[in-house]
Amino acid sequence: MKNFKTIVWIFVVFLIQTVIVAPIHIFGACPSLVLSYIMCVMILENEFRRATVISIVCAAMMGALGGRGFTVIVLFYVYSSIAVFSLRKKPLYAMDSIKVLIWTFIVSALLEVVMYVIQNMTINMGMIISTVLPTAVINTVMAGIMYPILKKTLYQDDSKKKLLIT
Amino acid sequence: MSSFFRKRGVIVALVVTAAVIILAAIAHFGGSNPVSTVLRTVFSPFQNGMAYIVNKVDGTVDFILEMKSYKEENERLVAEINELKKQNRDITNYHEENERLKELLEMQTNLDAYSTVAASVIAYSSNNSYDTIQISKGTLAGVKEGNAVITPDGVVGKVIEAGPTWSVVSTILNPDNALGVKVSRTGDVAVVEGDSELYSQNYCKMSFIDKGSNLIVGDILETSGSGGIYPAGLSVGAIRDVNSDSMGNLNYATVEPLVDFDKLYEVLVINGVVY
Repeated sequence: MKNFKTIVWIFVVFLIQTVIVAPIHIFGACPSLVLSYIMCVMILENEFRRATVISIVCAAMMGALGGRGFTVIVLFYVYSSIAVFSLRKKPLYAMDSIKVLIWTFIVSALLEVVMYVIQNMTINMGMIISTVLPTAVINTVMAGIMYPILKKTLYQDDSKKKLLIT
Repeated sequence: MSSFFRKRGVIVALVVTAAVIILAAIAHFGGSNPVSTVLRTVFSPFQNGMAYIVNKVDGTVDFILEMKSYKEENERLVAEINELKKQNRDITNYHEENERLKELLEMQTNLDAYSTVAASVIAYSSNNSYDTIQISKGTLAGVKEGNAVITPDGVVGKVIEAGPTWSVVSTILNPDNALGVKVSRTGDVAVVEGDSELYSQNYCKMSFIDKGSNLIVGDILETSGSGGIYPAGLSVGAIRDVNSDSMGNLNYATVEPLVDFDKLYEVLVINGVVY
């Protein structure tokens, strides 16, 4: 049942991303609902195999449907997912919801910088302020909205298990 | 624990990197990315459906947001339509008036043996009938008592009172008015006069009909020229009804004037002979 819900989530997220979100450009930013979703999953997920599969599937779909540099997108999504999953427990005192926001912001900003550098072979502060920051902020907001919904629909049993164990 | 993940993470990263490179090579040499092709084929029906719904919602939201401006635009357009309708009515009226005046001018030209004065009908009899009418020209324009008053359709009547800038016309419906006529078809002569019973229906009476006259409904009557007021040959009316006694003798005929007194706006006054 959890696998089925995960498939439905991925399907819906990609539909919304390609049909509704992709045409939106707020202050020049191109938001990525998929990246926000992946960051939420990497923080909430406890199984390495599931996290890896989800990140590879989403990365491949984003690269194939995203329209911007298949190779770079896939590799970046996978690497950043593995990195976030590895570091999801740190720091221990921070709430998962805060970690989601921070990691989404960092990864979004990094992705935009990487894409810009690859396309233009240069970097400047004006570009960072006008393109990277708005994208990172919007993705962070979307992650903040998605996190509680995802936790409630997909990871509520895990929370109960944790409570039972403790 | 972290080293365990790091090791597995490195393996996964390497595997994925290799797979991506292979796919990139296939796309580069094959011309298309197979993953992209499959995913787009699977997703496109759902994307079509979602795009349709999103467009509908977008359209509805836009409509609601712009409803105020639609309302204002609608009110503006309604006001503009009303103004245009009014202008259209005015233009129609001007056109009709223009046609009437053209007919009057043509008639005036045809009556070159007479001097004429064009005038407008400005008032009617106070008893809501057309036995008398008032026109806008008087003695200052050369109008005198006894002048014949006509339109392109036919005879209206004669001037019975003339002021400086107005005149009163006794129409052929007036029981006090009579004129000599002849039947266009047969040449029979008679007299058309107003009748106290018929004038409220806008009809008049033809009497003093020759014995042996063969009148039929629809016969056109024109002025005979006798009496010296109306020139000969002007249309007067059409026979509407023929009444005879038990012996078959014609008593009188009901005449319907060719002039429509309900829509009489301009007239021509014949105020003299030129040559």
